[in-house]
Amino acid sequence: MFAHILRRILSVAFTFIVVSIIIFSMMHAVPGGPFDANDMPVSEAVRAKMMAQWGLDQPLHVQYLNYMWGVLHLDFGVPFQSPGETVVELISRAWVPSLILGGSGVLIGAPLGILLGMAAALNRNTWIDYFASTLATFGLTIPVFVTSMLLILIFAVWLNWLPASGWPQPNRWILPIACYAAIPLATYARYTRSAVLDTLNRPFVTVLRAKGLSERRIIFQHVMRNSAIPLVTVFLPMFIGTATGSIFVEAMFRVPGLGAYFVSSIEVRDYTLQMALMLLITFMYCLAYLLSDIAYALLNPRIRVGGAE
Amino acid sequence: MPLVEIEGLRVSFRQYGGRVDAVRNVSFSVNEGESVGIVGESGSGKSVSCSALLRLLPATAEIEAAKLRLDGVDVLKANKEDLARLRGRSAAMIFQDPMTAFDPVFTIGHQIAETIQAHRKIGKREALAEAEQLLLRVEIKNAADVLGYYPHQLSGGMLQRAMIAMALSCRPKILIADEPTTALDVTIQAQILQLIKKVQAEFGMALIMITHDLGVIAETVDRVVVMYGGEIMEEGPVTEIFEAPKHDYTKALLASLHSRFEPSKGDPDALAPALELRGLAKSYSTRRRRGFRVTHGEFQAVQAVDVVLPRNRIVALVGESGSGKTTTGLMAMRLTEPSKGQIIVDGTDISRLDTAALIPFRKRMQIVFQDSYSALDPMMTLTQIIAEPLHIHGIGTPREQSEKALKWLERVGLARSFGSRYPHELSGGQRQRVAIARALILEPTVLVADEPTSALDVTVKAQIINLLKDLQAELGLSILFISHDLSTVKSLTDSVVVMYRGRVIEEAPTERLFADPRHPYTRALLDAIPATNPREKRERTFLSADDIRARTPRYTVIQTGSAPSPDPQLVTVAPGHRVEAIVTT
Amino acid sequence: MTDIAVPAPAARMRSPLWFAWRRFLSNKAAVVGGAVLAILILMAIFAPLITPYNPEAQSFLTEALAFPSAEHWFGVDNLGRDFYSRIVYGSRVSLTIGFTAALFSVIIGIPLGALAGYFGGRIDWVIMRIIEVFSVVPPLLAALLLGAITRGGYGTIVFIAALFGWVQVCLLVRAQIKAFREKEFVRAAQALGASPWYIIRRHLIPNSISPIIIGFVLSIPLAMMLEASLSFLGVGVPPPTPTWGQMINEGIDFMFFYWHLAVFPTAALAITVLATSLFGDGLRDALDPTLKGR
Repeated sequence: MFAHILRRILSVAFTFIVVSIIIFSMMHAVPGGPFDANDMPVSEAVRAKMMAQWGLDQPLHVQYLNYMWGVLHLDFGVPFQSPGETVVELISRAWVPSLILGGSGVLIGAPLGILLGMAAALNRNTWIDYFASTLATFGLTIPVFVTSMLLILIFAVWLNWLPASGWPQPNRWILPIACYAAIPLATYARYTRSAVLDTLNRPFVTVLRAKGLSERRIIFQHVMRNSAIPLVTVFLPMFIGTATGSIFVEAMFRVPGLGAYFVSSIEVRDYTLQMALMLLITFMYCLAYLLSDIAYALLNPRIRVGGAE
Repeated sequence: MPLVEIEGLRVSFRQYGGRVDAVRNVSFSVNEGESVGIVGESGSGKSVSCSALLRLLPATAEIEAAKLRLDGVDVLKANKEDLARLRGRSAAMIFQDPMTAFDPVFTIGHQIAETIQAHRKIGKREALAEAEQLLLRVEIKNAADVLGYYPHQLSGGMLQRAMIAMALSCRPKILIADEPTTALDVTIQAQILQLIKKVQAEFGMALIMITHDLGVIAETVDRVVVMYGGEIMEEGPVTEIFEAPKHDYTKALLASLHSRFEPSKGDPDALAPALELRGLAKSYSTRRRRGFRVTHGEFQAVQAVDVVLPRNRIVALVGESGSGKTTTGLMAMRLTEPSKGQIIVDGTDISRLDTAALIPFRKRMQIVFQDSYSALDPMMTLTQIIAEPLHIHGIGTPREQSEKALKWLERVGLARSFGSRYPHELSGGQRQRVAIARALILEPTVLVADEPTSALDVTVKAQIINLLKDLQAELGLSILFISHDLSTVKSLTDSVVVMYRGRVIEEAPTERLFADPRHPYTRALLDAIPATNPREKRERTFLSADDIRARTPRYTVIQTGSAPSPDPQLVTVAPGHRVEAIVTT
Repeated sequence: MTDIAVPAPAARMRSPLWFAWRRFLSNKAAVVGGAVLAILILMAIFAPLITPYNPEAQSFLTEALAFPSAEHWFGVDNLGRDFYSRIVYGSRVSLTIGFTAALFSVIIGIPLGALAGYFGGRIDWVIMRIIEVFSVVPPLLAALLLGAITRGGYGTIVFIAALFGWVQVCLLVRAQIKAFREKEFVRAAQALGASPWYIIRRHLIPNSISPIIIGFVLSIPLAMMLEASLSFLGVGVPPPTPTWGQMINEGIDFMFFYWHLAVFPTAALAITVLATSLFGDGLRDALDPTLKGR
């Protein structure tokens, strides 16, 4: 158990370092740095001085090590586009809207999806099942900017019930949260359905019936407990995926979140912010997978209690 | 009034655009305290009938019956409460594979206790205490520990015992055992059967024993129902069925139980054996981690095994799962790399040859596997499958290859028209014939047969054994026959090598081994063979691993001529008869 | 040999393919999805024949932003181009990118999956670590970054889509080959002296055809979404080539007054992606019932 977790930690750490190297070298391999002659018409001497000031004149691996050393101290540098604050300050400011909208999207969508998936599995081949499957397919296949647009058209343009976009007022949160909730809802509806059906098909369920247990007890204790194992493991990665903001939802609803800053950082070629955002999100994904693995091991007696006597 | 009354039962399953009958016109009854066996091959509808009795069939099944009563309740009209009472309390069931029959995320104790609580108003603590008593009654010694174990921590035999304890927990009036021993090892099988008989007597229950194995029937029941193709062929007292079967199918079943033995001719002129394994061993390195410390260990799957396969003979390699017999067979074929030892084929040691140098030997040695379904590539026709060896070794033109394949198809008893078919269109026995044809098309001298009949129905098994025998005589084959089934071995092989925990513990000519086994484990194996006649029912004694170690035979230096040693070694006790023993001075 | 009684061959058993076909047909959504996809492909191929106007010519500047009418079924866009023609031509971009990217995904995914699945051990470890790298990088952000660095374009999008699409194919093929390499017919071929290459080519790849088809079809909508997303953000296929993502992006600005500019490309994209996914899901459930819902 302990060994298993330790192995996962090492593996995830290794992955993260590889990703950071890839991202770092990718950023530096392309032409067009922040002090490119086209963008910043200054003299060679000034450019060289600025390069030296930012440490851009050193060999790449030194730059990488310097950078990662800073990252360890949460020092991602200063964003080019808003030099008045550090990257960390900018990110912690921009993350609030993403976390509120995306987080509530998952927290609303996931339980609804689980309920829907269970209802579908237990009422197989009835209208509930078909409804849930259709909803899940729509949620999983239609891109978020399409859902966003439809919601804006229907509720803001035609019905005129809700404001189309904007940030601080809570009534402007409803539509984006609905968009964010769609994916976890669909994912969970589908996962839950197939997990519950898988469990129902296993031989031990027949044994439980043959013992004379009530169907309620079989479903709510045995089937749910067994189905929960795969469901728990998808939660954290999904939460990270949604709570770091979607480029599209934030663009459509004009929310100043992480996604919006990422887009603008690409537009103005803001290296430090791009790097910081990519690393941060990758790191959170790594952490999410790691915690999911641990949760899986804890829930599964095979791993928790170990092998045969 | 009988406990179980079934009359005119018909079960059908809905499938694409139609219904398929699984069971037609089945009628039988079981009285209180009576033992009834239902025997039949896979797909004969024996399990379906009993699942219908407890309404355990999936929703796609349709059940019709003139009468379907259990413990005085009409099962077809039973409501939820009736069903909950019937299941577990009137009738309890034991299933085939104990490994999948328990919920993996709850402890054994929890699962037994919840059964008790489902039928009686009783606290968790008392239910657990009762569960412990039940585990003791099914002869689980460390019952208190087992309560807290998860299913994956127990062996198959232990789980089946726990399953029986769980079935007993509500004092059912009838116990339905659906192939309760099929997934278990031979010696465990016999123990479980004996246990079922014991608890049946103690609790005064009726018993329905569903099985494909006539031996199990002979051991356990008073009355037999023979099923075939979803219908009842014959019904009667067990002695009558065994001694005066009326129906052809029953006769065929019994005939397969009493096949006679003719030793193969052998080849006295040949000096060198066809295949010789010398000190062949396989060990896997294991790593255990405790915190940061890693300890390396070695798991000895096979320890220095010597086996000689003389030309034109059939030698059996017998043992239970985990005895290393399959690993030995795979190593002999160089499909698993041996850790030590030599594999001598026609005087050449092939254990160190590289892939290229091995190719000529690949033509001389072939293998047939247990699972005929996965032994044939589902995407290829039978002609392609049988011709594959020729294709790989580039022998002949494609036309010649398929012509030869078709000839072999006939030789193993299938029509040429089968050549264009795919494996899924064949039955298990037919697939095994194809696998044999593929193995023999290069006319090898050595064939390793790894449990080739254990997945087959009884009547088919006999046909495949006959086919192997015939081909062996025709081609002058030497066969290493790996099996866990001593009754098959008895009718086919010339000599037997018994393996136990990775070692050879006894080897002798077949008749001698059956007549005069010297090692306690061999005796235990022989004792576990189910009776072939209900009049031969007997009490058995079973040995634990410690008993076997304690009873290892002892011989003196004078008796054996071997050097004395406190560790067991193989000693010769008679010509061709070697046994593992401790030699004392 | 004469005592062997082989029962006369009964009626031929139904093949697994027949059952797969029946399973597919019984899935209405998948059949409809497949039909819609077929129609879309035909539309894309015969676009010049079924569109009345050139999609890139600004022939109707005076009627710019006109609502749908009998003459212009989907109206006219802000630059005076027939919107129906643009939508139909947009399907060409979407579908070609979808199919090419899926093709490349399969080309990368099969050999890597086969290697990892057959040899296991160190090779498997390396490939699985590579896959883990792809699973922790947010694909859209990475794609956006790559798109921005390379300044978009047709080839780049296919490259990016294949870069993130092969993982799924690889995992499917790996799982299948891993399951089949333990099968006894593979052992039998090894016992005959067949080389790993022979076994992979002749036994394992043909037996992986279901996951390969599934992987291919399910990669298509992913690539189409990626193209639309990148075009939407302005780093996709450059104008004036009509693409749906671009049209949606432009449509947003006019959404409040000229709804048709937003609705038609959105609907076209949604229908295409949905149809392909339904078709792919149906194929998956039909070809491999055990993979259902993964």
